[in-house]
Amino acid sequence: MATRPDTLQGSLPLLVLTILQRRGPLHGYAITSRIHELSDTLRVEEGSLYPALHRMEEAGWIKARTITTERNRTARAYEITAEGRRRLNVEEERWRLTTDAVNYVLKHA
Amino acid sequence: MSLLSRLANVFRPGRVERALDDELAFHIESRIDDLVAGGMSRADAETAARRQFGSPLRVRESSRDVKLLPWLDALARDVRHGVRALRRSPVFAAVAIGTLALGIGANTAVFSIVNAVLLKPLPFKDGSRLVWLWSTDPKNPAARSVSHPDFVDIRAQSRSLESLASWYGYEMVLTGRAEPQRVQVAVVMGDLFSVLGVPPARGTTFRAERPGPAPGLPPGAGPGQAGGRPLGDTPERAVVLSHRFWAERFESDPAIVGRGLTLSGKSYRVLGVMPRGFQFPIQTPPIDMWAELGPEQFADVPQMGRSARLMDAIGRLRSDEAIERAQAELDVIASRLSRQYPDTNAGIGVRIVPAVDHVAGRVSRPLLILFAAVACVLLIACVNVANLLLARATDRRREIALRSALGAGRARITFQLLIESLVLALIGGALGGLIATWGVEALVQLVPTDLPRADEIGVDRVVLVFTVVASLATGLIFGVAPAWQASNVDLTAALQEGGRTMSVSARAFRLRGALVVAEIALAVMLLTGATLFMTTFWRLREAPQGFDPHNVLSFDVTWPWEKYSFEQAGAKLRELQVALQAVPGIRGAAGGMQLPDRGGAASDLLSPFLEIEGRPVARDARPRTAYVPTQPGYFRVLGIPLVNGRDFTDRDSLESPRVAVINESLARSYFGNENPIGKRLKLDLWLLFGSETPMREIVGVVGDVTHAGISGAARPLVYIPFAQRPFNISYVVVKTDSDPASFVPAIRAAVRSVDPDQPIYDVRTLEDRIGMSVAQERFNALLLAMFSGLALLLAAIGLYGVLSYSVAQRTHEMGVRLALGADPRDVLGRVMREGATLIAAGLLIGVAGATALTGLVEGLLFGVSPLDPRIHLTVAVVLMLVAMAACWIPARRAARVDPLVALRYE
Repeated sequence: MATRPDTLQGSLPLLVLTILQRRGPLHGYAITSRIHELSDTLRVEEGSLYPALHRMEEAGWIKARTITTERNRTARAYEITAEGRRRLNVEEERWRLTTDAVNYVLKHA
Repeated sequence: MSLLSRLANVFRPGRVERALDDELAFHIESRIDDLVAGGMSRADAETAARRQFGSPLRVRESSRDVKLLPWLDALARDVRHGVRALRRSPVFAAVAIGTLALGIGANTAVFSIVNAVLLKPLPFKDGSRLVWLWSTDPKNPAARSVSHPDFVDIRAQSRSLESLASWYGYEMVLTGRAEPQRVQVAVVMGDLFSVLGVPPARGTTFRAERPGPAPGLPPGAGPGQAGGRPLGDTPERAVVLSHRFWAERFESDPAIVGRGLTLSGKSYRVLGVMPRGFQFPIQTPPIDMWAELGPEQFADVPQMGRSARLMDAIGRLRSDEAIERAQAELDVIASRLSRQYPDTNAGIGVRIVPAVDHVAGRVSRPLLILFAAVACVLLIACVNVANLLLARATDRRREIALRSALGAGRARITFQLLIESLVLALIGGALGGLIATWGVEALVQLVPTDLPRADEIGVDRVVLVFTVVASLATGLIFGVAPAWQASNVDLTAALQEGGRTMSVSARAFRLRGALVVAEIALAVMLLTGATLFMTTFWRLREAPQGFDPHNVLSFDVTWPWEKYSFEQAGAKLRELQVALQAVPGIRGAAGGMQLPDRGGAASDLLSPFLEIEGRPVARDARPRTAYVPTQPGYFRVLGIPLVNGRDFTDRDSLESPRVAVINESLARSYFGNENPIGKRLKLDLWLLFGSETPMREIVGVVGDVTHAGISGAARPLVYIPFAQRPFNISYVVVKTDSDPASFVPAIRAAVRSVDPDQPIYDVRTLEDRIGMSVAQERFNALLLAMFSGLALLLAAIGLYGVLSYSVAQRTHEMGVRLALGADPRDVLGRVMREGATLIAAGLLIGVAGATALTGLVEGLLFGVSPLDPRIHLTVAVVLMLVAMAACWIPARRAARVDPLVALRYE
């Protein structure tokens, strides 16, 4: 685990919202798997995803519905809402500003 | 997620948790499946999956807070924890809940009476603006009535009263297909129903109608007129029925409006029916119908003069008018009337009070005393439960210390313990509510029949709110101190002691002692009150009545004005007397205008002025007396002793010289040591008959009759022969050989033989009647006795609890004392002394409190002083006996401690 979970905390909604935006409804396990596939660096303690998901659900950025998987099990799948899309734009913009600022400092310090 | 669904989730945390668990389990299983698919062994895959996932418990907790309302969730958890804690000590829970249920139940039951009688707004539109109006007379401060001409003037002149109506009660006999029935009528002047703001449920009221002739006061009874003269008989007479009467007598006949009725021989038309539950005036027996008294009637009815203050009046304040300003305006009107009519209105004022106060005025103080008493019982119950909690807290010190060590703050622990108390109180309250619903039914049987609005007593929404509030308040009262005290633990001490014998915290013990002193003091005060009211009741029952009620039956036979003139009524009563005396087993029967327990006419209407021959008195200074027309034999039937002279005989008639019999009280006041026989007096029966001529010769003196009731001193009384002053209202008393109740059918048959349409009412033995007259005192005494008994029991339990606990805590100390050679009697004495200190302190405070509160019961007692030392002595002895018994058990246990066992225990 290269990154401490708390560093990741702030960016977790951004990751989740982006994945759900591009890949459609996914259950929690699929979201984790997707993050792991894309990046080894961003490995998180898998359980910590769920409180984040539930908070986002509470905030109305994503909503849950029950689906049946290909293995014929029921699972809770999450999809992004209109509110979530607006939020994603805000988060992306903030992420860009932050990383630009950090990169600028790293280059010119 | 909405607040509502989060709120709902608090009450179904299982469901939320299950959904969470499912979601997490799905994740972990999916990971395992993938790892196994990747070639890992199942066991390794499970371990790896769990490691990668982290602590599911932590995930669950933090997700749970998102889905639930955290503070409410904490509260719900505390409640569940509290219930569990109570389940672990069922005996404690049962004792505490039982105590509270009794206390809250008794309070709810009494509150339901207070609510119906004192608090509930009158069931009229905007009842708070209704005012009772009457003329004040400094010579007769108890009077609460107004005369008709004054009423008319006040109504015309007042700006602050929007409307004003008056009425008087009247009885008529309804005849027709069914049995003749006496009906209670309110004869109304003015627009009573719109003053009250209640429209009829069916038909109309008098509003649009031209008023018809009234079924008036004794008609044609003006001065110099001996005979009854019926009023003009027009077809306009009309009545409005009460819903109850319509339902009972006419089986809710939908075609009732417009139907004709025969009342006391006259025909009336039914105008309308009032809505269910409407009753006014509120009285027992309830009003059956209303009839209207039109202004025309007054012109030729002379007794409706300004001094005939016979009507009750109710008005409605203008919506922007304060009652004080209305009163000021009425004062001006009253003084104007005094100047205008000095003969009748000098010194006469006008007073208004809120109608609800007036309705309950007479009964409010006894009721509030009862309510205060029952609140004391609940307070004592609280003290007991607080004591139990304090004892329990000591036992739970380890649990509390552990929670504190795990990071729970003092506030958090206090809160948790308080929630436990509230759970106790609410369970107790719920049971108490159940007890109250039964208790109220029992209480309603006990309440005096003349308690106003008694039929409204019941457990309704207001009463339930009271129960909940009382329960919560109770929980706080008994919970706060123990919770705060218990949460204050010395961690190291509590945990090190390892749950074995712990010395009682001296502070906790002092607190418990103080609580016991408080409850003993409260119990002493209640016992004092109960003893006073019980003594009052006994004294009243045993007070010499001056007559012998044994085997005497009495009933009311009122000959309808409309059918019989006074003379005819007198003749009928004589016929009835003869018919009754012919019945085997009846020793004697006689009629009189009143029963002896009424003390002869309480109202001014029937109190004539007295003049004694040769003693001229200024007209204004004439004394009043009471008078009762009686038939011969009345004194013998009632066992009233003839002290001097003779009783009336059949020869004392309208044709013979006028005679009178006086009671001893009158003989003493007016004749002193002179022999009154042969002296002459004159009655001015101003209102009904005017001044009598010629004078009456006194032919006999009889013993005084005290009428029962607190105000029941003997009054001067003149008896006159019924035949010389016949009247339509009469009570008949019958002395029988055996159980008088078994003579009722024979008596009814005798009445029918005289007039088949004539009903009799109010048939009761005199003993029952005496019982009814002290019903209020009986009710007070009974309830206070019950409450104080309960208080005494609870106080004794509290004392017992504290001492047993103290003994149990000091088993070791006792053992050492005994091992060192202390006499077991000394040990016993020590514990008894400890108890006696508490008892003495409680007793002193209680007696002081009772003495300070004597003002509360003033005027409610009879034959006993609230400062009577014998009362306090009785209370002290009873309390000492019970309390010392409560000490004796733990003290004996202490003395019997086996030193070996006690020491090994350490």
